[in-house]
Parts: sequence; C-alpha cells; structure tokens
Amino acid sequence: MNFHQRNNNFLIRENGKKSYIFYVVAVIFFILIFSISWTRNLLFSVGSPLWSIENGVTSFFANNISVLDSKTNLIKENDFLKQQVSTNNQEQALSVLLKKENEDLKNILGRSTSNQKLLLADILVKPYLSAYDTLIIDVGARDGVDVGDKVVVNGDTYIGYILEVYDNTSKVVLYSSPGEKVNVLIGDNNIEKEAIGMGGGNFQVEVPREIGINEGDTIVMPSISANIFGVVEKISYKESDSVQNVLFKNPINIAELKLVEVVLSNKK
Amino acid sequence: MLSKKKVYRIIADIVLILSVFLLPSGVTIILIFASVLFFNNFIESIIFSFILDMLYGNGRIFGYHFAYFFTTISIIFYLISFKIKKMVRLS
Repeated sequence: MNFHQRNNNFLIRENGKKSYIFYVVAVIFFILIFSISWTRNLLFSVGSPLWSIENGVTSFFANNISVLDSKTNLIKENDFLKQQVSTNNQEQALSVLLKKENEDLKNILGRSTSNQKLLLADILVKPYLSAYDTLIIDVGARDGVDVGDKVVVNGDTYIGYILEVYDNTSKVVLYSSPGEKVNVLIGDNNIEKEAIGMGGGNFQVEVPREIGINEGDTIVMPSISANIFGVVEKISYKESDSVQNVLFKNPINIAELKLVEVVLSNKK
Repeated sequence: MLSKKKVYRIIADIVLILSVFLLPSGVTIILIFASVLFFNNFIESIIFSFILDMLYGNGRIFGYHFAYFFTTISIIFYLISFKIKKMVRLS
C-alpha cells in the first residue's frame, strides 16, 4: 500500500467517525427536545388525525364485514341478539329503578352523587396499538381534563386515570397495567386490599382465607357512588397458606370499547 | 442523485414513522430491529423507539418506574447489531 492509498483510507475513517459523532449528537438533541412538554404536545397533535383516520377505516370494515356473512348465520345471530336485548332490557329496567332508589336515599342523607361531571371522550389509541396498556383519548386541557382525573365506562365502571394531558388529547393509564396498584373493596364485609394490575384487564389480590369469596363475586372501588371494578374469575391457595390468591377481571372488554367518560375533578 | 440504498433508507424511515402511529408497538419494534440489521448505522432506530415511549409509555415497566423501555432495548440492539453483522455478514 503506497502513501496515497494509506492517506485516503485514513481520510475515509476520519469522515466516518465525524458523521458517526454527528448522528449521535443529533439523536441526543432530538431526545432532549422531545423531553420538553410542548414538543410532546406537537407529537400528539400529529398523531391525533392519523389515529382518527385509522379508527374510521377500521370501524368501516368492522361494520361492513357482516355483508359477506351467509343469510342463515345472520338470521341465527339476529334471533340470538333479539333474545339477549329482551333480557338486557328487563335487567336494565331493574337497574335504573335501583339506581334511582340509591340516589334518592343518598339525597335524603345529603350525599348526592348526581352532580359528578362526566366528559365523554372518543378513544384514539387502544392497548393493542400501545404495548403499555394505555389509552389515548380525544379530550385534553382545553376540555378541562386534569392529571389524576378518573376514567369510567358507562358511568360506573372505573378503568383508569389520566396520566398526561395535552391540548386536545390525554393519556390514560389503565388500572390493569402491569404493576399498577389500586385499592379495592372485597367480600361481603368490604375489606380494603391493594390489587395489582396484570395487564389485559386482569388483576391479582391476596386476601386472608377466612374472607368468604367466590368466583363471580363483584369487586368495587372505594367510592360513594355505586360502581363495579371487577368480577372474580379464579381463586387459588395452598393448604399450608393462610392467604388466598384472587384473580379478577374488569367486566369491560377494552378491545371493544369506543367511548369512555372522564370524571372531571376540575369543575370550572 | 441519491444512491439506491439511501432511497431505501428514506422509504424505511417513512414506513417506520407511520408504523409508530398506526401499527402495534410490537410490530413496530420488529420493523425497527430489521432495519437496524439491514441498513448501516441505523441510528434513527433510537429516535423511533423514543417516540414509541413518549406516545404510549406510562412511566412504568414490570412494576418499576422506568419510562424508556423501548429506547433502552433499541440502544442495546443497535450496539450489538455491529457484532451480529460481523458474525453473519449482512451488510
């Protein structure tokens, strides 16, 4: 190898080193810039229309896929759904009656819950898109949403809380996110315990074996308003243990959810 | 005039940024890793992973407070990709 070749190789190596350092500095600069709140807001502003379009396309196909189904299947499904609607209507009538009675009793005792301000929100991103068990919803600081506000479904099923608020969007952490801790009331005696999220709407809680609890029992959150937090799916214990391991699931299927409500704490 | 490899790289960048917003995080991270192996010095992978963490992260992973899970695994993969490439001679 002559001097010119060696010199040339050296220059290539030096240029490569310089561009490599430039790339590393650029990445660090980018990370620092996007750690600032307003630039994150920009990221969510870019994402918001993309997620809306994606949801529109997805729901279009989901709503029209049944056109390809056979007539017999559709008739069968229709009959089954009619039967289910009739049963649900009866249960709903009873539920409305009991809710009203509950509200009236609370009013008599001066503890009304009907002045709770709920804000309806469309879900832009669900956990199938986000690996972290988070939701992104289309309401933000402009709508009065605040960090820590609780998120419910159908007005009585708690699913998570607001973690970050941007101008037009907010990030919701589901209580079922892995490692997330939440206080719940279990059993007939409403014993308060800390449940741990396991992802996908599942929770785990350890309770003493003396507490009578069965599969299918409801678990509630400590609150003045009636709510459902979970339904017991499985109970397991060893004969030598003094505690039982209760696995329960949120009754809401997040994958099928389109709308949620935010309980506004900031009532302007 | 851009070389063929640079054009592919720009296309990969566009696909990845769209996948960050529109595809499940698991799929995006697989695409990012594939790009790291396919292209030379694909340092953008760290930026895409960082955006994933910013958009969907809840500041916690496996119960521990840590907000940059995908960024960390991307940095690790980016660093070991040099060794992998040397071993399998992909580029």
